[in-house]
Amino acid sequence: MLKATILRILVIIPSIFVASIMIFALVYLIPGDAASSIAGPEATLDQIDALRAKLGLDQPPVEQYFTWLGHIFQGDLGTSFVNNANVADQIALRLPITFELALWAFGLALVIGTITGVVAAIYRGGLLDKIILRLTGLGLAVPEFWVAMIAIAVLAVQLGIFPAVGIVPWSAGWAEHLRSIFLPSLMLSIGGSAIIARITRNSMIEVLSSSYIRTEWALGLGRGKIYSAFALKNVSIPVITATGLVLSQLLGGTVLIETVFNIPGMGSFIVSSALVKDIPAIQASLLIVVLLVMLLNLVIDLSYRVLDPRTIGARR
Amino acid sequence: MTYVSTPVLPAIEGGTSRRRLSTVGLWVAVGWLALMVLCAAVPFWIAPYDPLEQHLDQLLELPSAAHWLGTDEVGRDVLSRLIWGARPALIGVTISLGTALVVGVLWGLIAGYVRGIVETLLMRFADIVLSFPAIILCIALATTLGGSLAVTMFAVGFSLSPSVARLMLSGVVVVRQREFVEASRMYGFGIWHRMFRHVAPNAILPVLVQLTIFAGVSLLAQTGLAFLGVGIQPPEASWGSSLGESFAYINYDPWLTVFPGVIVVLTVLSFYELGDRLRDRVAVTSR
Repeated sequence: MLKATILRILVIIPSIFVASIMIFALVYLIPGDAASSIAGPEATLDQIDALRAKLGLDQPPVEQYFTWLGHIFQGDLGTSFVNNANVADQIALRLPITFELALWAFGLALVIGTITGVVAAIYRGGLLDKIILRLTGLGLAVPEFWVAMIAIAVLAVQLGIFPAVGIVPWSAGWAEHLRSIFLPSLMLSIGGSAIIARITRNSMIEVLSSSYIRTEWALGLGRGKIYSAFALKNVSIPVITATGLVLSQLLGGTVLIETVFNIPGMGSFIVSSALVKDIPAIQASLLIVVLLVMLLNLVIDLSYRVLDPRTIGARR
Repeated sequence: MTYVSTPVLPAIEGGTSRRRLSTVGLWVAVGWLALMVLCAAVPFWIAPYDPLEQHLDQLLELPSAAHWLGTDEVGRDVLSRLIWGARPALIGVTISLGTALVVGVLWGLIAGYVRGIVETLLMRFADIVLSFPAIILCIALATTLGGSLAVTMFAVGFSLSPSVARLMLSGVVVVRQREFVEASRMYGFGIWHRMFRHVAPNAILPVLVQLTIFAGVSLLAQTGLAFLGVGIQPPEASWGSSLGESFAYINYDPWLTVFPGVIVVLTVLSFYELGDRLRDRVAVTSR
């Protein structure tokens, strides 16, 4: 078991390496001459040359890559083309906001998804089940940012229940902070809730029809005990396997939700940097996000092994 | 990562008496998609107004007899813009599906048929690509590559292709052990002939069943990207950029935001419905 676990942890190193090469190579995808394309049509030749030197494009690619990687290991994520801001400082300010947003959204998705999934499975085939299934279908088909726009118009602007834009910092009081982060988190959790609800329903139905649950019924155990103690425990495993997918989607979703709610997080940073081709900022944020997803996947994989010891020997 | 197929969306399993539920949903979905195809093919016959024509005396009008869905902030007819928007939407879906199919099917086919270290490396690479959140990968690729609709949809297709590769692999793993593949090897056919003529056609079913689901996912991605200003550029009509433009006026005219969203949701739901029915059909026939 120890060997398999260590191997799983080590595998992440070449993955990060390959991902970093892909991210670095992004600058070579710019059509034509990257430096003049970024500098724009009005730049002088001197400005273009300066930019080229700054990008390191006057050196051979392999050398550039290792210089870039070396800087990153020293915590230097480069400086923005647009305002010469330190990218690492920017990300340090923005990452906690996005991380918190994604965490709340994940918590909401877990609660909403599991409860509706279990209810649907218990009332399988009934009206409630049909309604929940329709809703999950809808949840997977709506653009979350569109629902968010309407929610802002109705709940924030018309009714004034939530602040319309931005997030109130913790320092201004926890109640205000939670009130401002609730609506964006809820909107971000729509797709994840639907996925978790479907998976919970499917595996709950499977577990409920298994012979050992039938034995519990025959033994005369109460409904509550069977549903909570036996069935839910087994349902948790497929839900955990879906967690990686859901978390990656949530992090992607922040791009749109942060733009709609005007939240200064990683998502809106990526959009604003990409639209002005701020290459150092895009590369650094991509690297951080991918690193985050890979580490989360690692944690999920390891916890999966603890919960379901059958998978330890299996080739993964 | 496990090598089992990873569908983009979890299917509804465990019998919901869907089969008795007649085929109304399916026909509604087919009907809606047919309407969208018609809008995309001949918008100039269907749309009551020119989608770019500005009526500066009729700004942000509510739905009326003259403008069924009202007018936008520069007095353009909303209905006409939505009808014209079907064109980039469907072209975009076609480009991204085509890219995802070509790249993903080759990817899974080579991995599954060559096996060994090639399979491990290719599928490991799929895992790596999948650890980029799809929309962020699309934004980065599309903006650096230049950001037209076609380029953006290539990027969406590429981000879908590892999922297609996994599905393809799940089919190849089953087919590669069958006798007819062995037989064709003994007849002396080359590896490419075997891969494309014998393995691929028999292994592609899991991919085809998910194709409409990919179409829905792709349309959602396109809408989100256009909303952010990546892909199709204004003043050209598209559902996503209509949503983006409407946001500033949501307190004056909420309908401007509601209608494009409804169209997107109905189209995505139709794609999914088609996919669900296809999956049911395949599940029945392969039993």
